[in-house]
Amino acid sequence: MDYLLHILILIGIYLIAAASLNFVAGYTGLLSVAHAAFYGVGAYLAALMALKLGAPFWLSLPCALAIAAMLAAVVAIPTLRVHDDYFVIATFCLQVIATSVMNNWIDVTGGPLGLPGIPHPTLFGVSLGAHWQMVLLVWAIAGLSFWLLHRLVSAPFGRVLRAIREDEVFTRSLGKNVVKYKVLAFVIGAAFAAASGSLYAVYMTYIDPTSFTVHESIFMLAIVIVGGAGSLWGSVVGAAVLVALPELLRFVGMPSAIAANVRQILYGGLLVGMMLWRPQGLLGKYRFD
Amino acid sequence: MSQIVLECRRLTKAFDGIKAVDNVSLSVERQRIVAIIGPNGAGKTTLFNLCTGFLHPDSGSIRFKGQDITRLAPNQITLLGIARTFQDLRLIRQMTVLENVLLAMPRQAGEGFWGAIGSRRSAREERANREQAMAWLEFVGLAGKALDLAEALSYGQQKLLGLACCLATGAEMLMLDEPVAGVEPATTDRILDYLSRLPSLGKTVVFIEHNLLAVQTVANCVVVMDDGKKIAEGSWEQVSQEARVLEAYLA
Repeated sequence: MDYLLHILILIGIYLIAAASLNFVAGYTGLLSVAHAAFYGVGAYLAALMALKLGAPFWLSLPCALAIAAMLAAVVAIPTLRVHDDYFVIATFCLQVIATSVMNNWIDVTGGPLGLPGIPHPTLFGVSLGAHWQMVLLVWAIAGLSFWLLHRLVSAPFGRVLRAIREDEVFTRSLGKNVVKYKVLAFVIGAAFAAASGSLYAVYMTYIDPTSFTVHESIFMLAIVIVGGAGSLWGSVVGAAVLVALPELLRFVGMPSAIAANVRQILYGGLLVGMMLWRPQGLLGKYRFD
Repeated sequence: MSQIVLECRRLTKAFDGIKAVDNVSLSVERQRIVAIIGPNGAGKTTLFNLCTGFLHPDSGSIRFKGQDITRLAPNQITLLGIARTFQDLRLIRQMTVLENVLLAMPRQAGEGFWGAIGSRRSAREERANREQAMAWLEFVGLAGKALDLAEALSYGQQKLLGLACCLATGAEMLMLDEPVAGVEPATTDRILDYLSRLPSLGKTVVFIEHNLLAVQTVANCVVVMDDGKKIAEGSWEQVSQEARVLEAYLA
């Protein structure tokens, strides 16, 4: 039972990460491969505030959101000056720098050894250590995040984002401040990624840099693509499929050493298949052409 | 003098030493229809790009209703009241016709972060905007296509949608880059009919066009450019007699 709840928790965490990446990449067309960097910032901030300052999760979560958002605003200035392929490369650099800081700023991040012993969040003095409690916490925050993002994309705000994705020049000619919207989308995406990372840290109680590398960013992007770029519900489906699918390998009795590799093949095969037969994703409508 | 809405003074813009726009001055009076003609490479589109903020001049100034707009960004200029269309027909192709027009509406509360999250006011605003957008689509005769994707329209219809978006920005002045180029005759006549009605709605129109019949039909004033310079200006009857104009077209 705990095992199933564990999967449910991971789906919730990835749902927030993927939906927010969809907001940035799928709706606004900013193909960022640095989402795991902001996810990592959230995780490390939640962990450090709990371990060094003894701050409760209810305080560290908004702090993580705010700091990730500020960080995103600062890096958006140089990053958003470049377009298309160059933007991908710029965010890739950002991701490499972030991983490098996590690995090498040993006094703060613990380096490759990571940060163990992160306490579970508490509510009215009760530690939310049990799986079912974490399910409720994660899915409450996931639900709220989804609702907020959904609100934004279905409002005229989202219409401007989708317009930017397709034709920036035309959107500017209609009087929209394209730069402002791109920065805003990037910042909002980073804040939700940090929320997701904070939940990951307090659920796992241990974090190290391997969870926040470019592979993780690409995994999140895979969820977005499989679910459908420009469809938030698609990201829910995508998160469920990509988190749960490899778990099936356990049930066919595959040894874990092999399963880890087969999982990569599975992801790769799935992505290739999607590109061939359903490039817009399971629930997506938008063609990137 | 207050009748002049757009005033370009001694505009120059060079690319790699080649002067695409060379010392051009131009005044446009309110509620007039001005055509800019000239051979390919004469600098007509560059002049448009300068007036709408997509390029900034090397020297010279542009004033719109008395305000200096020389260094402003395109989106600021649109909100001040100059909207444009593009030669290579730009639209949000994977959005519906109606959404394209809605997108063009200025200063929407629901386009802000808090406006989008906070609810009622922007929902009411969106309903009102829908009506207004439908009215513009009605004006260009596309109301029946409102829910089709923009990419599903014919070329001429897409030009009409571009015009509707331009109108929906609320801008007082429209700069249309080849509004009837490549459009079949029936739709051309429709577009020209709509253009000729714009001054009565308080709009001022400047358009670039190679179709001289269209220019003759709707323009009150014709500006001829060649090689970056303004070589003639006046009514069609006047400019079509000038030797320099004939030379530029025949050479």
